[in-house]
Amino acid sequence: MKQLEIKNLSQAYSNFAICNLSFKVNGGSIVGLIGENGAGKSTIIKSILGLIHPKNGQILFDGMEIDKLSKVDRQKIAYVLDDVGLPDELNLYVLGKVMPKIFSRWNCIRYKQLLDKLCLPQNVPVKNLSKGMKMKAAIAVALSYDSELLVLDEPTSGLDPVVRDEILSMLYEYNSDGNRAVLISSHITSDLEKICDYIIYIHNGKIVINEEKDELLKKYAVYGVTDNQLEELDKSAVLKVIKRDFGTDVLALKDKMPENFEFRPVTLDDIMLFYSKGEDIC
Amino acid sequence: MLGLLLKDFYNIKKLALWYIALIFIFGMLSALLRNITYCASVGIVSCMVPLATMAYEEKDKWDKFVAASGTEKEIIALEKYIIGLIFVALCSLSYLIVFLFFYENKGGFAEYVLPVCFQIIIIAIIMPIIFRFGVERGRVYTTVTLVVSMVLFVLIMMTVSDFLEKSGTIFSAILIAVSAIILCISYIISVKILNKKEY
Repeated sequence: MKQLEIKNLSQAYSNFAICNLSFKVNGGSIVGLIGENGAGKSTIIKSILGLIHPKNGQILFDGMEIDKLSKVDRQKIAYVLDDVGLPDELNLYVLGKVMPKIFSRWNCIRYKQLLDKLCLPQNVPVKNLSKGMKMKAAIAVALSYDSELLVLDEPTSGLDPVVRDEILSMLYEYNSDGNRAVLISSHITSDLEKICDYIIYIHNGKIVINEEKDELLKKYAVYGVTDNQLEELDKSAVLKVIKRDFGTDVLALKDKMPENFEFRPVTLDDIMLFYSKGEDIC
Repeated sequence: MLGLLLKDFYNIKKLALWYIALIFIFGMLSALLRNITYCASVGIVSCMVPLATMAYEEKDKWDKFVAASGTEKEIIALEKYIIGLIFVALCSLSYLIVFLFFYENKGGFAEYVLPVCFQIIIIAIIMPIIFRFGVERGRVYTTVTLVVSMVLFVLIMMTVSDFLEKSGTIFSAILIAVSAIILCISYIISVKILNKKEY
């Protein structure tokens, strides 16, 4: 089982920076990367794919530095970019002739099967495909050569629920052998809640959460409390608060909160909202 | 590299046919008018074709896709130079036919070598600029380079024909060597630029 390891990754631009990010993507797992716009998710993915050169840090795939991998080993990392990147003037049939010359472990039969399964027309130029079809084509390309890790940058952005569900099923199937890993960044947290094993939340250039998804969603809850109730709470239970006109919303650890307090289950959206708009309890 | 070449030719096949037609038309014009300037100057096409492929790649974000595929930067750069050289060969072939059969050349073989080498030198100058700045941002630099090169070429053709008649062989040899060296240096610079490039 191959492992992707990010160690102390740092990169700075004029308007934001990521600082000393470290995490692992183990073989057989699906890891979701969430964060606000400009948090650094795409920067991390571009660093993994060698599209940018980070100021500091190491990116290791199966123990070897990414930029020292041979082309064959590099292609064990499949990818789907947010802007797809397929040539507009070619149709998918011609693309199937081009890709085997680029990817050494290209599987023509699998490619055709994927196109058929996804109902993608082979004789229509990429430019004439809908947004959803282009993304499905990009995923078909990524799944048509043998890989150990699949990295996706916003693959379901702007797509309808039906297409999103199809894409998530494909990712699940890719991962189902128990060895291959997926790293997916997305704003559509409901998609990540469906398929991810681990969630990494990046906020202000740092990792604030790196936990098993089910554990994360079980551990925390959202409580609506009055000011008096807020005063009585165990401060160590509370992560963040958002003061509203009608009271205060609290993101808290369930097992440290009073049992009689009503709560609703937390979602990844809630966690992001509390971290970006919420305050620390004083 | 074959995959990249295949992709480019599929991408620009209609454009390439237009360019080949242009080479043919200018060749015919030169043959009819017994003036090699037309078919010699259409060598500009050889510089435009790699630029056209790079413009498509920027628009489609294919350059990012292929960079992420682990394809070596040496191959990515080489493929563009090869496209340029293929069209240098086509332009030069058209020019050769006119030169041999329809033109009373005074400068000898050197008069043939000069525009061919000019095409190669122009490609050598333009390619690193485009790799560095991209097609859109590099447009001004490439336009200036092409205009200056065309003017220089016409002036040189007008002034050196007597010289070429006397010392053409040495001149040709030096020009071919210089063009080859400049092209190699250009390729090395382009690879360095691509290695540092961020997407």
